[in-house]
This record gives sequence, structure tokens and C-alpha cells, in this order.
Amino acid sequence: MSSLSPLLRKAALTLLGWSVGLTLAFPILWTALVSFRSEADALGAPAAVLAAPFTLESYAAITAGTRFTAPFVNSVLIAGGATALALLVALPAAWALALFPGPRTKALLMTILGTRMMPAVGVLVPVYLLFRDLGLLDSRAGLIVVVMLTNLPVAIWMLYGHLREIPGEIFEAARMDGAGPGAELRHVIAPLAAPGIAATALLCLILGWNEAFWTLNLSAAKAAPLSAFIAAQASPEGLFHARLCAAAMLASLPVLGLGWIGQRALVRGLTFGAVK
Amino acid sequence: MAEILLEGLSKRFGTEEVLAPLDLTIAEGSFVVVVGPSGCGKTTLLRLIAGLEEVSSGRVLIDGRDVTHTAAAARGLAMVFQSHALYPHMNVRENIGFPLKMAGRPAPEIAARVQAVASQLGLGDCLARKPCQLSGGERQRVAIGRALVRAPAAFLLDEPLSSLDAELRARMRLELARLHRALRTTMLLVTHDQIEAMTLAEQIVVLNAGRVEQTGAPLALYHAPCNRFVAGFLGSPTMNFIEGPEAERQGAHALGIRPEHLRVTRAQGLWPGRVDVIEALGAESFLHLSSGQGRLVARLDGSADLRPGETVWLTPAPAHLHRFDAAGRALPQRPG
Repeated sequence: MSSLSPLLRKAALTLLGWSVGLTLAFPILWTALVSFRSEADALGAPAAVLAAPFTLESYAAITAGTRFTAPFVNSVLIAGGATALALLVALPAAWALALFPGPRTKALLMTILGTRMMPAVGVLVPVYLLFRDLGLLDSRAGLIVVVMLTNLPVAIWMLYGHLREIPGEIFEAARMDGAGPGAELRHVIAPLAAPGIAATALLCLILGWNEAFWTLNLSAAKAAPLSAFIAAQASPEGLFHARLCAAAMLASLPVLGLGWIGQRALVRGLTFGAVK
Repeated sequence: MAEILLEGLSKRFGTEEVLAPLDLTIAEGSFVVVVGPSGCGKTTLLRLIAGLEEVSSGRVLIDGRDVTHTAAAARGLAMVFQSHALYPHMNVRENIGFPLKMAGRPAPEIAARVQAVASQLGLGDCLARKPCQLSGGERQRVAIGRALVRAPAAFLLDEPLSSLDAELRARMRLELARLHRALRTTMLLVTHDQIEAMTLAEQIVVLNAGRVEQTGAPLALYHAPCNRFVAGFLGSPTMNFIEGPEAERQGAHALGIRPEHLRVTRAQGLWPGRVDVIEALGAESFLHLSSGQGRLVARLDGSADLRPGETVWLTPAPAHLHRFDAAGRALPQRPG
């Protein structure tokens, strides 16, 4: 009993772990499965879907011509552009907040985070009207700006945490050694904060890539990224279930890859400053 | 080399005054040590001179030039930080060469000067190493080397030895003294360690609660402290203070006598006392005593033959008896 019970415990825990993992991953696994079925088979009963023959016709349909490449390029431009822009704004902001804290720094940081907590739908109408009047509807530039703004709080908070980790005396030493703000940023801050900047960029890229609320509401055909492309598979002509799954799989691959490559940096970036 | 002049320099954080208006002249080529307990404002003073902190009022002049509102980078001063503050992503060569690089010196000149400073400090073998691969003493020397390399107008040293162990601290103290003798560059060091102050300084500034208590040569302060704080802060073991009837008899609120000026005899003396603890250090012994005047410490020759529990007589040397009034100010020596 005494020697068996730890083994049993371990087996039970393993079983539980796998069940939870598979349950969580089930929607993704099912999506992957359905994406390899014909449109007719895709809507059958689960057992029928499982037994149906393997086919690539959905992938062929959604990648025909520029149907897939155009939104893919839009996604790259919007996520990439929003990330670059967010870093450009967030790095100096985080630097100022971390290195020159004032009596209102805490309140300012909470306000910045607060904007992220607000439901986006609450500002949809004013933003839509602004975009309409500025001629930004269905434009990549407009989407870059709005995606950048939704990611900015996260970027500032992450970079702030990283910069706070670097002892302030190092920056002061650079100043005493004759470095102006530009040289300090280039020779001291950027190299020391590089892992944090990379993690922040990665997270912004993923968030920007997955952004659906604003891209769905503010784009039509020209600037539509992959999120809009996936949604478009449920069209007035009918629901293309297998194609929708294929589009979702193709759209997820780049971020899956990025996440896989950067998972160490990402975990470190997200937990940075949490434990010291 | 430079003279640093502080005129009415003060600092407030909000409503709290951390440094009361203060005037101080740091002569060209001198070694001045600012000493005081933690939180007395000594590091703030150094940071005001360095330009890392905005002054609340007053002026900082370096060689007559008003630098009160000049950026830290443009003051021509070098600073050694308590934490050393080496650049962790650069090796020793790049760390020491950084100030020269920022000054836009050509690469061959940087290489030559880094080499010269490194060999002067015994760092020749670790130029390619990163700070995390260095020992505490080596890091300390790299920090000094980085300050040394561009021949600054003055050195500002913020508790540079406090992060080292006792043995290394003693050695680096000696190296700092040698360095100052060799360079004759103005040096301003702040520390809470009165031994560092006594051994390194040509002039000591005793700071307490944001105010200068006394300024002068180490031995002058040791022998003629202007108040009880300075008397108690300098010297180890600390000065004995005696209050009550004995002090009143001598026309003072409190008497002060250093351990080495308290004579201990078996035969007879002024005050009887009992030996509690003997700290025998070899060359000398510290005697901790209970007496009618309170607990006292006496410094004796290492060969003194006394035992705990023994009753002895204590006699202060009259010429070295300090008298203080109720506000703690030193009273003039009594004639005779």
C-alpha cells in the first residue's frame, strides 16, 4: 500500500493532466481535423467527421489566387507596424516613468493600464466616426494606429518592469561618464533592456496579429487582415465550415511559430519583476 | 585638479529638508571626507555636486565656474558609486574606456590609456572579462579605473569601500591613499565609517541630520570636538560620557573622556570601578567597566594583567577631559 500509493497518485495526476490538456486543446484539434474534410463532410455528426476521407480542398479553395495572400500581407503590415510604433512610443515613456519617478507616477501607470481594461466596444462609435471623417476606414494606416494604441499599455508596463530591474546607478554612471540622453539610450539602456524589448515586441506582435475586434469593425476589403478573412468564411452565401477551419489554421501558424521560438523570452518577459 | 566651492547649498524633498544650507570649500588637490550616520544627507551632498540631483538653493562652483545648472555629463567630475555601477554588458576594457569613448577620443588613444590605467591598478590580466566574472576587489578597481582614465577635475566617491569585506576594505583604503598621493587630484569621499574618515582625510566634514557639525583636520576634530555628537562619532571605542554630580562638580552638564585617557590602577584613583569584560586584541585591550559614573571603557596596553570581576581605580587625564553644556556644545578647557 505504502509503496503503491505514490505510484497510483502519480498515475492519477498524469491522467488528470492529460485530460485537462486535451480538453483545452480540443477545439483547436477539432478545427485542424475539420480543415482536412470536404465542405459536405464537415457538417456531419462527429463520428461521421472523424470517419470522412482526408482532403486538401478547403486549403486549395482559400489559397486560390490572392484570396489568402492579400489578408496575410495586411496582417503582417498591421501587426508589424503597430508593434514598431508601439515600441517607439513605449520605450521613451517607460524610460521616463522608470528612471524619473514622480509623486504621480503610480497613478499615471494605473491610468495607462485602465485604458486597456475599458471594453473596446464602448469607444467603437466615436472611433468609427473619427475614422470615417479622417478617411481612415478600411486603411492599413488606420488599423496600425488603432492596434498600436490597444497594445501601448501592455508595452509600456512590460518595458517599465524591465527598466526598473536595471539598477539606476548604472544610468547615473553613464551620465557621469559623459553620456548624453542619446548615447545613454544607445550604449547602456538599449543593450541592457534588449531581452525585455524583444519579449515586449513578441507579445505586441502576437496581440496585433490576433486583434479581431477593431480589424473586423474598421476594415472591409482593402485593409482586411487574416482575422477578417476568417470571419468572411461565414458569408451571406452560406457558412463554409471546412474553409473557415482551414483559414483559422493557416492564420494561426505564424503566431504559433513565433510563440514556439520565443517562448522562453516570453515567459521571462511576462514574469519579469514579479519575483525578485 | 580643481577647487570645489559650495555656497549655501541645500536640498529639500517636498517639505523635508535633507540638507540645510551649507558652505564648504574643497581645496584643489585635497582629500576631503564627509562622514556621518546613515541618512544624514552625505550622499545627497555628493549627488548635488555631481549634478545627479537638482539643488533647492545655493550654488556649486568648480574652479570658479558656476555649474549649479550644468548637466552631470558636462561637469568634468568622475564618480565611484557604492554599487560600483559597472556596465554589465561590457568587458573591463570597454568599461574603463567608456568615458573616453563618450568624449570622442580616437580608438588608439583609448586603447593606450585603458592599458595604462589597467596596469596601474593591476587589472592587466582581466581586460577581456565581464564584470560578473570579477571578484569584489577587482570590480572596485575597475570602477576606480573608469573614474581615473579621463583625468577628471575631481573624484567623487560614494561609500566606495562599504561593499567589500574587512580585509579588502583595509587594503583598498591604503590603495586610495596611495592613489591620491600619486595623482594629487581633488577627492571627495563620503562614508559612514569613521575609521575611513580618520585614515584617508586631510579634512573631515562631520554631517548630522543635514547639518555640518564640524570641519577640520582629523586629529584636530578628534582632540577638540566642538560638540558631543562629533566627540562621540569619531574614535573607536567611542568616548565615555559622564553625567550627574561628577559633571556638575566640574561645571558641566556632561564630561567626556576617551578610553585611552582613562588610567586604570589597582592602588588608588578618582573613581572605583569593577571590570566586567576584557576584550584582549593583543597589542591592546579594551576594558569594559561598571562604576558609579556608569559604564565606562578604557584602552590599555595588551600586557595589562587584570581579570573580570576585579575592582580597580579609574583616573581621567585632566588635560584630556572634555566638558559639554546641556545643549551638547563643548565648553572651554578648564585652566590647570
